[in-house]
Amino acid sequence: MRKIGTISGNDIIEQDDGSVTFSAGATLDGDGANGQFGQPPCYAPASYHGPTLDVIGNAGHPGNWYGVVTDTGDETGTPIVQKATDPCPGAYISATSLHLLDENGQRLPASSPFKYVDSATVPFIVVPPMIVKGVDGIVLGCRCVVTNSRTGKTTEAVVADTGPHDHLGEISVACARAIGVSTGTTHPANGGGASSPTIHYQLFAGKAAVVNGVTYPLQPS
Amino acid sequence: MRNSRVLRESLAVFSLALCCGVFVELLTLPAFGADALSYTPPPFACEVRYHFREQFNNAKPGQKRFSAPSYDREPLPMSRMAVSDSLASRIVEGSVAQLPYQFSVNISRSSDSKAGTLEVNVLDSSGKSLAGFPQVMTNPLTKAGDTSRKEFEIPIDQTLKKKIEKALLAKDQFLTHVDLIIGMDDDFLSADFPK
Repeated sequence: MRKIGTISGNDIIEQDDGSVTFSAGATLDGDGANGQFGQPPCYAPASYHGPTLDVIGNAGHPGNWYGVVTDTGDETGTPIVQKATDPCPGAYISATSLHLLDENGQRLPASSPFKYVDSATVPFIVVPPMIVKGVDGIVLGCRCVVTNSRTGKTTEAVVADTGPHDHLGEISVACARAIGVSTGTTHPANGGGASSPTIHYQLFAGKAAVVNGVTYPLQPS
Repeated sequence: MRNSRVLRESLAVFSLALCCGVFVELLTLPAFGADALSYTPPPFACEVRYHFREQFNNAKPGQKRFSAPSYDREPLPMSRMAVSDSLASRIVEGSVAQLPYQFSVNISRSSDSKAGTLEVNVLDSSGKSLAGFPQVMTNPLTKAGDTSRKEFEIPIDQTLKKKIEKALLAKDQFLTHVDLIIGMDDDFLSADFPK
């Protein structure tokens, strides 16, 4: 057993079987939701008619788009808006750290809504860089089991995004719903969450996640 | 004989006093124990969330350059009950360390069959409501599920944004927005929330 580190008083432990465990709260991450499977996107311009998972403030503003994919690939560009042939026309495209591949195992372009993991329908978790870099196996795309001690509900999940260095415990909107964590009324990702340390996380670095029949790629950092 | 009469009179006076006491107690009960009203709104709690992201300066080309969003929290005081004119209310009033604002959140009901009314106001240091407040609506909150939380964005200017970033955030982190969150679920009401 080895302690990888401590964040906000919660120890991150690499167990003898190689799994990584920690208990924490759960903030919610709507990133990656682009309507891939018919659920709301994470972000959209004011002209978009429909619900979004998060408030536009978490995506940015002209000249500084830190939460959506832009035409230049950085925050100074213009957000890419989904086309009529995309799953959610008119919405922006938000990204996860984990990038999905096409049916031939090839990389998708950054402008593809399907490159990212859908927060609205896929249970996933977010980890700080300390975990991504601190264990031997590949973390992004690996299997994770998330348990809510308050409800007793548990779910299989995939590690799909990276959070701030000093924050532990973050999950997708679909993961929150699967384990009985409250979401926001207006914007599910914005108002939801669970207190610490009610959520238990167990990661299996190097072991590709299989969630709802989909096998996720392991992605080296 | 005389002693017996005195005893009967004393008992009668005592009984009358007891009855009066019970009657007065019944009359005053709603004023002192709002829980006795079946339509008293359920308890709720409020917190201010400071949402932020972190820039990853060492991101390689094609990698995500900013972290997933996260937040720091500050709680408002617990709710208190009030009853007047057959209207039962739960009220949260107070302020947080990082904002120069006064918050007032009131859920009131007049019967079991009504959801009640939610009133939210945020006042600046001069007592003036911030832009977009007060807000009054049919109470959307329930004890569980997707309707157990309600969010209200709090406007902040650049000066206040910088002050909050300096006080709460680490290097390479920046504030994206500030919210008031009202919650009625067990997790939000738990003693260890927020952490």
